[in-house]
Amino acid sequence: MGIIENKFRDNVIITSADKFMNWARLSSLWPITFGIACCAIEMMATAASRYDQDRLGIIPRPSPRQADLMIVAGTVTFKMASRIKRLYEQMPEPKYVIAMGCCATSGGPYWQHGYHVMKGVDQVIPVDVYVPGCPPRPESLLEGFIKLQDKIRRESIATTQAA
Amino acid sequence: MDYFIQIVTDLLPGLNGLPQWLVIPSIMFLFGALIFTGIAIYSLIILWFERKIAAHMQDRLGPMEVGGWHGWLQTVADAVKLLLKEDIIPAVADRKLFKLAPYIVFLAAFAVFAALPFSDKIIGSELNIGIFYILSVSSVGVVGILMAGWGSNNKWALFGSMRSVAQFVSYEIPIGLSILVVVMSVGSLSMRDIVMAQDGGIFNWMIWQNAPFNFIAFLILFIAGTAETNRVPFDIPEAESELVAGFHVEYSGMRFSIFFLAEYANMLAVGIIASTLFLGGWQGITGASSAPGIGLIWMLLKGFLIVLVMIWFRWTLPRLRVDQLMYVCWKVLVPISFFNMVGAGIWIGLSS
Amino acid sequence: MRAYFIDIFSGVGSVLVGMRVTFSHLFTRSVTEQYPREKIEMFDRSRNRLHVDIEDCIGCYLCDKACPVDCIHIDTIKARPGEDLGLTEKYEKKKTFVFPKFDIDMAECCYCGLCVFPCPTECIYWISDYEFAEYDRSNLNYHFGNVTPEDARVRYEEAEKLKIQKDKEIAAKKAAAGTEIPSQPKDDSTESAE
Repeated sequence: MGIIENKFRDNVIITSADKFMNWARLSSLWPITFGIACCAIEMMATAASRYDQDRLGIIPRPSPRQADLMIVAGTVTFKMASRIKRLYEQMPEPKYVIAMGCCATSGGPYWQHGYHVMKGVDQVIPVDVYVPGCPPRPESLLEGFIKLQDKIRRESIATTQAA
Repeated sequence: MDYFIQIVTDLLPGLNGLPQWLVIPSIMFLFGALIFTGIAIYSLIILWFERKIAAHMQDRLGPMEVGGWHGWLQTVADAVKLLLKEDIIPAVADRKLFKLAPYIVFLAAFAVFAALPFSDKIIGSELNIGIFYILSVSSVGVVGILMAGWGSNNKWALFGSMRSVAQFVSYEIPIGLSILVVVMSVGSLSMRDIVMAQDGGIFNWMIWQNAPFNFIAFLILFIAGTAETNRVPFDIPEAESELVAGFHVEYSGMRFSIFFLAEYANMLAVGIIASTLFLGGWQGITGASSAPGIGLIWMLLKGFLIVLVMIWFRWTLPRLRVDQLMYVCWKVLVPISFFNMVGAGIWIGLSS
Repeated sequence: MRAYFIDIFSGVGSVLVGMRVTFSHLFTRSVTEQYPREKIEMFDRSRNRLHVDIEDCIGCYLCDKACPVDCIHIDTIKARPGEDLGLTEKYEKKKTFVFPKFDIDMAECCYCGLCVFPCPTECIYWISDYEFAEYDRSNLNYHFGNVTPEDARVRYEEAEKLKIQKDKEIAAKKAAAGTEIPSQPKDDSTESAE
């Protein structure tokens, strides 16, 4: 897609193509689930039978090369941060990040005295949606997914992420 | 193929003006394109089925939101999204091998369809060594998997591809021995003759003949076929928690979707082979009917049924460890299929 | 040798049992709550999000001190002399402070609820809203203060002026009574505890 991205500015001719591409991307978000700490349990609960995330088309993939969403669930320590950055760079464009839980949003309960905690994963990778909670309910995470889908719906190939 | 050529030249009489050496190959190409389209559409449908069946077996709902009624557009969205992804080739990867590997794996799966009988008259190529051709061509996929693993320049990919090659090659033996049981009782390698030998209704199907040897041969063919296509419980090469997606770990976007397509095409091929050899092929419950379309529908239905049972297997069983996998092949399936073949040979010899 | 055959048969048997179980589950009702369409009722005492009725707050700082992660930040200004801020709705306590800043950062909160118990007027409490994901992290810092910054600045200046005036008065009193013996502090041991 790189050959036609960022060449137009809000031309009418690309609106339907935009809509179709955005629909395809938001209907099949495949995360690598980066479950680090306690929020991983709520993420597993979201994938389980009661609050099924497969209804929205979300199936977890093991390899970052095949994923387009990274759910950072849990406390990000400085040691882990370099690995998160490496995995983020291995994901192909277009890619999105959800920071799940207070620890990934801003260091959470460790913001004041956590000498080992990175105060928010957005210090190493750009985050699209922050889902607060300690840990957030599965419905909160599903609402985070829906908010991300709304954000993708508003994208356009005239102005892409990488620009 | 002759029937197909006849249909096309009847439909498009303008083709008679063109020279013969142009018409026949282009009609054959059309047939191949039709098969390819059929495989693509079938993959979309079977993927939706897999997700829905998996979900309902786990007491949940599966895709619901995409496209209205029970998410039937879900796989279309998946396919389009994979097409629109960035194409990453690792800098240290061997570019030629990396790029070529998915196509070779798909080629192996696709070439099998040339000799499969979809109906009395609809068959790509009426070979008199049909089943032998199928077995040998499907083994070409091994080369593709090796290329994927080596070309990715990634140790996990290499482990995955080595294990997959070992598994694939080992499970060829039980398949060959089971097919031999059918070939012995029919006396011919041609797919058409095998289906004709099952003429006359559901109780004449090969699976009930030479009991119990053919039944055991069918089970062994099914189990070994599941292993050939890297499905659970034999999916160590694509194991998620152990090998981070195995030999296709470095593939993204379109290349990855070709691997996926190849896996589902393989499943359908195994299903159709099993139903041709044991379940009566394109014949119905009460024997062959004259309309060619009915044969095609029966064939696809039976192949679909076998694929559904494979999906059922997947969501029931845990994964086998690689040494257990090899144990099952060499110490269980090979002896059983060997003695089965010997027994079937004696039975056939005694009863004729 | 016998174990070999027993293994095979028990393996095949367990596979068939498993397949029967999954087949029966194919036809049982699914337990999914389809989230955006059907939301389940939140139960009482569920800890989803904090809310402060700032009109009931008396500025006692008990929630600030109780918070184990220091995510509540409060600034208070005393009311002007003669200004009547009224009583709180629950427990009818007299209000003496206005709040230029009462911030609870829900991205730092650990949702323990230790701030809810000590509040004497029950003005900080849990609401059952769990749908507050944001695109921008600073939006998760909830501001409950009830005076604008300009008003706060005006009040601070008035308070400064008042303080300076009071200091002058005290200094004048001291100067006037400078020759007297400084008054003894009261003897606390004779006072009864009240």
